[in-house]
Amino acid sequence: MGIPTSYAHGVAVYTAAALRALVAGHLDLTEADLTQNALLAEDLAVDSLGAIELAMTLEDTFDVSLPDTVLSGVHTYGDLERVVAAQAGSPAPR
Amino acid sequence: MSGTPGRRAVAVTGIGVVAPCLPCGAGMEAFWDGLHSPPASDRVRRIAYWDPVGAGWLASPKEARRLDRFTQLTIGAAALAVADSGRSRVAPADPYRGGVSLGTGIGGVGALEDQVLVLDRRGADRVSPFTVPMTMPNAGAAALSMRYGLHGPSETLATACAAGTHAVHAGARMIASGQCDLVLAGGSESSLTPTTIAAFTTMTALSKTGVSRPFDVERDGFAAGEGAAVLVLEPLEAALARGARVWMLVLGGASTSDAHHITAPSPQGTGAEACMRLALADAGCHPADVSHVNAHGTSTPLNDLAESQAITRLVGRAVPVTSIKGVTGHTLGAAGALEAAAVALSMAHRSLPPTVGTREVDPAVEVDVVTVARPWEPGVVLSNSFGFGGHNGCLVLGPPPATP
Repeated sequence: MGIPTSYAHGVAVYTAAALRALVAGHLDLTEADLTQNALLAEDLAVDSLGAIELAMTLEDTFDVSLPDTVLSGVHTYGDLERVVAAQAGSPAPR
Repeated sequence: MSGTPGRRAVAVTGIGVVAPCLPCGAGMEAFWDGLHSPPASDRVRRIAYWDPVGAGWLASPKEARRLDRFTQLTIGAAALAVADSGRSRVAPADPYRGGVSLGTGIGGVGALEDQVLVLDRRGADRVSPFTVPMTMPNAGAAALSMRYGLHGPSETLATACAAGTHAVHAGARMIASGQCDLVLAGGSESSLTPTTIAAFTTMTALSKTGVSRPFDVERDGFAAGEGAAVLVLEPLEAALARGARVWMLVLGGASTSDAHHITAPSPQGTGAEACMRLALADAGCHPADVSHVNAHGTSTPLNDLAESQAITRLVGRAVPVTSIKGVTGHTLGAAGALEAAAVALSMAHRSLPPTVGTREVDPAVEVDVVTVARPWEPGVVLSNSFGFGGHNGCLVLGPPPATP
């Protein structure tokens, strides 16, 4: 079986579109499901373990850091986009 | 368990099998065909094409990613079994009377092995949060309870290569005792990882030629297989009342321990003999009633000799003995469930499948080894499984009641 490809370390350039495509693929959703107000738990069926798995995938792909302290403030897809963009889109950490 | 006072008769009303010898999603007749296929020479036998999402057994790649392959095989076999049973609704009216009883040898070792590599190459903070629920041996049973809304007992037996037989017996007892009105029972194994294959190899359990030839004078070890089989068990009375097709009855069984050695069977198969004897007594049957033995028959020098000696002492030399492991390979914790499925097919076809791969029966093996398919009048069958650790399991299976 080997190492799951989702954990392969390939850094991609962040764009909102790249994030959307990755998250939709990871969660088996369509990109249209990922509205700014979509709630991760209730609307997108991301449970606690699923959130950790998703965070690992985003960390690997976009070279960002999404520790529990950051994730605990993420409730909607829009929140997720903002925290990833804030790190990936800026050369200096905020 | 049919003719035994105080117990309900246990009917097998649906069976699903996934195994290397049949196409993914194919039914019981394909399995029967597979049991008559020519000998293979692969020491490791995997299901060549496995697409549980395409088969409709899993909703999405996301779901598949979170389930070890042994759990995926469990879900596939259960889906086939449920469809085969013709039940419109799987869970009984009282869902606390619906149970699951599964066996596995090593559970989700593949998931664990993947994450060992992740840990080593990427670090502790990259280890999947799903590792524990994927690896645990009870993941298959949990998946079936959730999938079918079965709120009764959902248990997993880990008795190595005897697990499938023990699990079917345990499930049958849930029906016979009156505890449950429906049980999904069987076994699943998908532990053919690089580490386990290497370990079976260094312990010289695997055949060097890759040909599994149970009871043959040239047998030199088993071929390792993966697979799963699930049986739908119901009280016979309820099954007949709903007009279900009854494959066979689970008449009884036994579980014993050699208390002898971690991998070798007790000399002359004394442990196996005791288990078969107790199983017959449990079923209210006598050695003279036995019309066929579906053997454990792994193709290892030690097992096949000891098992044949045990069978000879118990029922003599005239009872036909088959091992299907020449085709399936040794599917470890699933083997007993696959072999129960093979017995059901023998009952339906009134025929015994050959012990594929066997050309010249070892002169030290005195039982009547079926090497060419032969017609057979269904009767009481013993189905044996023996596991590392000295765990012995034996099921007593009987034909369905004659239709009026």
